[in-house]
Amino acid sequence: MRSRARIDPRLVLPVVGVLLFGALIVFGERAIDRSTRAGERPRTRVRLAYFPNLTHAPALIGVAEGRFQRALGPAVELSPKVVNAGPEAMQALLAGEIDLAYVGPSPATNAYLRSAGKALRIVAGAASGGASLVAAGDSRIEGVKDLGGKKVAVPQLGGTQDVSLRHFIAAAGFAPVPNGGTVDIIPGGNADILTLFKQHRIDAAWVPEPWATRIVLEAGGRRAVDERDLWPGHRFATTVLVARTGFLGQHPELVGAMVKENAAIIAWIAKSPKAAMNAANAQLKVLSGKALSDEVLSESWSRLSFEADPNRASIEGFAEAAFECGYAKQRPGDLSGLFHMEAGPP
Amino acid sequence: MPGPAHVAESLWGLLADGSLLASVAVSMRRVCEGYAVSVLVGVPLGILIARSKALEDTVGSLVAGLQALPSICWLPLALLWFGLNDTAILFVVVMGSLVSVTISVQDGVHNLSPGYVRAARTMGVRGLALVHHVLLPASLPSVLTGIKLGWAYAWRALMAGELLFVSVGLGHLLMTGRELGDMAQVLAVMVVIAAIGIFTDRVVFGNLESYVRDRYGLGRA
Repeated sequence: MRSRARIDPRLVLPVVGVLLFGALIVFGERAIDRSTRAGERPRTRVRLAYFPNLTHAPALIGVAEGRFQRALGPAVELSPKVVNAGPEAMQALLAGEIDLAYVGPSPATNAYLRSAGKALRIVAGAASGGASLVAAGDSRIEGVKDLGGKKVAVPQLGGTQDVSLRHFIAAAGFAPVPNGGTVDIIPGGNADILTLFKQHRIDAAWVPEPWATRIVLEAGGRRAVDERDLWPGHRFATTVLVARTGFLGQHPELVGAMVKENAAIIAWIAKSPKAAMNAANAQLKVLSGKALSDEVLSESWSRLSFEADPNRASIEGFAEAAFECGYAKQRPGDLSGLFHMEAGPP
Repeated sequence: MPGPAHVAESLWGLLADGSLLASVAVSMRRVCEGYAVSVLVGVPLGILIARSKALEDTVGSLVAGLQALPSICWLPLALLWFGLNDTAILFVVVMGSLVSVTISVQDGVHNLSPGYVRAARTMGVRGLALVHHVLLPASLPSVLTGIKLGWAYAWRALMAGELLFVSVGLGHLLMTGRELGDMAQVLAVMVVIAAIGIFTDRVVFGNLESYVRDRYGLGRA
């Protein structure tokens, strides 16, 4: 009889490698909480998008403590989706993948205008304030009036802080460099801005919390202007709750329940800010693996206020300012259709 | 800039709380699914394009055009067509690796010595038998290079795809690190991705390639 042919080890090793991968997948996926995977679906689902941000504290608390789920009742399943940026959340909403979203007023207004007023309605407010102009500690920048000839960073071109900066420097008589002015506006991610600050590459930055506070505490920055001081009534919309128009038409009672719970959470935040702050931070830790340090948390928290009124005047102000900076093609005009503040279908 | 000790500590932290294992498993499953689709579709497609003039003029130029597109171009479309779910990520992975697999296979079959095909035809081999007994075996070395490239492209596309929405995965760990300004975590995840790449290249593809090279008499001179 012929002896058994020898198998080349170079054929065995790849098979072993692939088997190892397979084992890793099976073993690793078992470690993931089953509840996060698709299981049996109840009849109705509410898909809620929010960001892992302090400015979304009502959403963080409502999801983490099961308050939204309780408000919706046992027949309805709350399916929270965590997203990282407003434009993505709005794309998903336009695609019908999201029913409700906590989002900044700029992406919401953009999606509303782009869909010719069809896609969504603002049904409540959530947060106000929480953005600052931070200057390098050794600079002599005291306010917007000192920004001529300076390098100023913003988190995103066309983002809320960018629009604010352009609006307020225009009011102070300056213009950005590409438009023949002297203010050099540098877009960069929040984390990158912190690094640029540490390396003394920029003079100032217009950033949201907790980054403004982190720049002050970690990079020797100085808070020159709290943006709230620039707005009438000391307040402007930072986060609003929007509903997809189709969903609002089908399930006005569910949207109503969420709006009511949003208001209840905001009332609770006002009553026990300490507990609320820590609850929000705990959920941040769950979502992103890192909680904010106590120092950053309490300072950032003090720069924010939470209110159920979306502050329509400031949203219209942002839309007008975005048009003035050239970010919108037409004048926004009347935005009254964007707001849906009473209960019932649109 | 964090030092190696800092990165190792971050790596250990990710391992200890289980998030690394879960992320690797989920990312690996996504890559494997997308890659399997790419290979199953890409290899036959490459052979077909190489063998048919009409297909080469139509689908061939389309594939060449798609090759120039980076994976992030597909993100908005994936979101629009599939929504915020795993299918969207799978789509981005497939679009990233399918094209490179197809093109390498196509080139491999193209560069075959026509003598093989003529000899086979003379002996009456036609159709699927020609593909199975002549084209595939003869172009195996370049097909192997093609599917190896496809694996690398699938990983790159996955990193782009996992930025679509927040879910478990290596791409998400990477982004969390960036968003929080935690460079140690970013570097730790980069180390893990590179380690998986080295393992796959050396253990899986390296051995296969060296085996095939020997069998084809293409070993070192």
